[in-house]
Amino acid sequence: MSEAIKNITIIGNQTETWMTAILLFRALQGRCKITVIDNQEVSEPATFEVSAYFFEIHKRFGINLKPVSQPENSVLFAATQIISGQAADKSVWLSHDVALPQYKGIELPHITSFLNLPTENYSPSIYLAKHNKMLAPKQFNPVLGRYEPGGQINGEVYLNFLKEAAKFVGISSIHAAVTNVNFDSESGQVRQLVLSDGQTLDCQLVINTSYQTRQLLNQTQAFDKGTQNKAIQNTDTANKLAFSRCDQFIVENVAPAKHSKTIRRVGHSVLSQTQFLNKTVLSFYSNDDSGLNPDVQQYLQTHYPESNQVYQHMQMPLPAEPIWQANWLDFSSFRFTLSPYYPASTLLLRGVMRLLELFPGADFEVSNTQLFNQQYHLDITGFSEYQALFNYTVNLMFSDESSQLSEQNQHRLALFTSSGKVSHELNPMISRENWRNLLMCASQNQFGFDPVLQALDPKAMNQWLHQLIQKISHL
Amino acid sequence: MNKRQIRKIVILGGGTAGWMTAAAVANRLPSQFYQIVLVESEQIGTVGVGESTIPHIRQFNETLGIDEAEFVRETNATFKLGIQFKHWGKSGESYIHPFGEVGELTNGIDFHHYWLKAKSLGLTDSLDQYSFLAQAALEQKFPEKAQLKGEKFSQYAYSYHIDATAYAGFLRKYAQNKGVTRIEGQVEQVCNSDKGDIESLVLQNGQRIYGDLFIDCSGFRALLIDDNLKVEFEDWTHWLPVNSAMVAQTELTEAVYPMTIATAHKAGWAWKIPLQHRMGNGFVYDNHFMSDDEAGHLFSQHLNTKPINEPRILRFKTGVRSKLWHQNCIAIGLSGGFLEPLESTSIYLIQLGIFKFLELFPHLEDMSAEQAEYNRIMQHSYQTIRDFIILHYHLNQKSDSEFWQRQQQMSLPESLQTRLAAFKESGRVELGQFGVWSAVCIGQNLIPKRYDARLDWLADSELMKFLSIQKQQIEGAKTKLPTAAEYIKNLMKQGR
Repeated sequence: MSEAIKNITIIGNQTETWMTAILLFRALQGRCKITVIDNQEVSEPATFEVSAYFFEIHKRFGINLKPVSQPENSVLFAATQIISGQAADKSVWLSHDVALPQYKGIELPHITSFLNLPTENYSPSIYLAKHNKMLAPKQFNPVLGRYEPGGQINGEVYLNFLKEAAKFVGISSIHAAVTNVNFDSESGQVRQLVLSDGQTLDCQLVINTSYQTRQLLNQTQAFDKGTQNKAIQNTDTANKLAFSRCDQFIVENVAPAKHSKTIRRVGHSVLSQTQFLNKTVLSFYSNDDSGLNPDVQQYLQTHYPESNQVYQHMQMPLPAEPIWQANWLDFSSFRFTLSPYYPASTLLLRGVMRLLELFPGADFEVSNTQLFNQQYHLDITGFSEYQALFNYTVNLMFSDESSQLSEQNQHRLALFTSSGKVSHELNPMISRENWRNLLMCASQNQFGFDPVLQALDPKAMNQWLHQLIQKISHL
Repeated sequence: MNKRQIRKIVILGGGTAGWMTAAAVANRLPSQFYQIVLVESEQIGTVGVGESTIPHIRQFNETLGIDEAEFVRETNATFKLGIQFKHWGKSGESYIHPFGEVGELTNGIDFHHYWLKAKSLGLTDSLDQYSFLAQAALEQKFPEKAQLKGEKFSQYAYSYHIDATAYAGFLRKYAQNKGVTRIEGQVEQVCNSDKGDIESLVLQNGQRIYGDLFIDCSGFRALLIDDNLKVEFEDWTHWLPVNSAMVAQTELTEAVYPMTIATAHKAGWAWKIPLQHRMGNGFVYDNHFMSDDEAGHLFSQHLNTKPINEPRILRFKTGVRSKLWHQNCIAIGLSGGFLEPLESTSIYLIQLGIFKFLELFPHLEDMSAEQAEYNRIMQHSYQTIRDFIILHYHLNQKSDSEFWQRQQQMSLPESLQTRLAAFKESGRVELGQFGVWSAVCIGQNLIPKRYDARLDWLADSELMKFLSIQKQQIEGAKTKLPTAAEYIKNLMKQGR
């Protein structure tokens, strides 16, 4: 019988590191000793994006985010505007609706598509965003469905909050870098970490969030892990990450917070823009390894000459190897600034939750590890596919038709275009509603409808829509 | 808005699949716009078994607005909380596969891990003893929702045993009331368009029936999907080799119990399903290992009483069509695929086929995207259930039968190998699996090597106390329950 794990070592010194540490501590009720190897290697983003899942998980483990949720440290948004970037700007709105009103059991987008009306005019969340309003989901009139706002959080404040919490609960940290890793020659397990201060640390479960250490851990390539992870091949998803670089700029101002996010192409870069109570945050995503894209520089000079760069980060592609091997997991690719399109914090949180579902004993059962890798691979694939479809949408808005869609995304789009249906996903990380909202944009609001509508009275549908828009206007 | 629309749907076959389809389609599609025709022949019998169901059938009935009391009355239904498997692991042993998890998830850890640790400490209780539904079923009781309101076990899953022929008849009335046209006749010829779509059916009396979309519910004959459209059948008999069933009805000689009983014999298994007015019985076997004569003899012993009707033999082949929706034809029920009735999934797969079809209801012009989605989902569902059924056969420990030994040694589908390895080693079950893996695996003596190691943080005495409380709660709730027979009687009386 396997013994319980007594200690967990987490390598890294960033928001992702400390969030993992705190969540594991709370979920394991403090039964495991958690040590953070604080190697001081990267800068932190000024802000990062979160979803409703982020708040839900913190709440589930009794972590009160009140200090982080103050208006000066966070902003919620109801929808995202995707702007063409051309001179005569046109845009589409990506809603955050998760349940939409139904007419005789048929969802709103089918009705608007059938009547050839713009769906976004009837979306409650888009209405809120356009009018710069914010309502807590609980305050929402249930007749109008339900929505889940997205959010941006001040990275520094959240990191300090986590570090304080870690100190308070007794998570220990060692200020040193990992210089070498000693593996067990048979199992490929990490036995010891050799640190820059000369210490040698014995390990049981190791979670890596550091780029530097990733190379050291991957020395285990030499071991035969074929039987352990034969079903997983992440190589296909590695290439699907859209961007290799993220640069953040801040413009100090006193403008009110804006409850929408905007996405636009700037040359070959993508700009994600959010506005806090007292500052505007501009996050540029690109594939320029040599430096800041000239288009971006020009854009900043023209529009935001007062901006200051606060963060620069080169993204690593997702590892070709499975995330969990032997007794270590490599989360180092999942920086919160991985994508302008979908909060990467959700992807990391999902990984931590899957680890808890399949929490190992001290002998690290191979089939358990394999199950984790299979399930998490589905999450990563879902994330990558969503990003790719979003990128396709942004490029379309920019009249760039060079994006190639994967077979799965082609199927999703074909089904939605044909009859407004959303492809079924098994235990998905990206919900059906999120896919539907994106597909509306990806199809440029030219999608199909349920044929049954042909049998219903269009006058009655129009009346229903009229009543709906009246209710929305009271939000 | 100008896409060509389906206006006429033709359903071929009027068994359980045909009338379930007709009823659900008629309920969903307005009759002033859609014409629905069902063609069947009284000359052709229906299989009419599939009497045992799983809880999803309640969703089907609820969607159609069917009153439960009326349904129970019309189909002579009894209630079901799970399946009792006798002699499946080792001869002489039995376990129950209940509807719903055994015990509840506590501190993020599945209940069977608590049981596994306790077992390692010497606990002798079976896992069944911690399932409220299994314990109720064993005492022939059925939970009354009103009595359990607000209590721990107030939310539970159940289904029915039904007279499938009566159910088809009940739905026939329902469908005809909703405007479905029934045409009596046998198909003589199927005519196709240049594109390969089915255009019309010609009956023996010369009547020609045109349609935009055809649903093949012609059972094993698969007149449209196979005879006409030649869609390949993927044969799974190397995994699920039983190929014959002998069926007969007997009088009800014992109290109604709220579970199906599946008893393993030397080359297959036999079922007993209590209805209100009779018992349904079946004897499933592999005729490579048992002759029909021997099966008949053993079936008589199993019945232990004179059958009401002459036993009949059904032959079948396990597998599924490579496409369940091809051209303008959808195969629902036995024409699309067959999985033996061990886990009572026949009606569920019909229901799934119908609901997915309605969810993906296409325009006439181009239905390729809807077809691809439908086929992907249905194939996945058939495979998931297939794996779960194989599991029952594979996990036997019999040493006195060539049939069972072959099942122990067979090579498993890769999807099942991975899941089985995970359960064997660490008691983990992938989400989204069909059935309660822990109940079946542990019931058939596959005891995982390890329990969740986090339970080492729970003191032994605390663990034992926790399990003892679980049992007490089950005992306490059980005493309040009526018998399954009383429950049905009350339901009929009150017409709830």
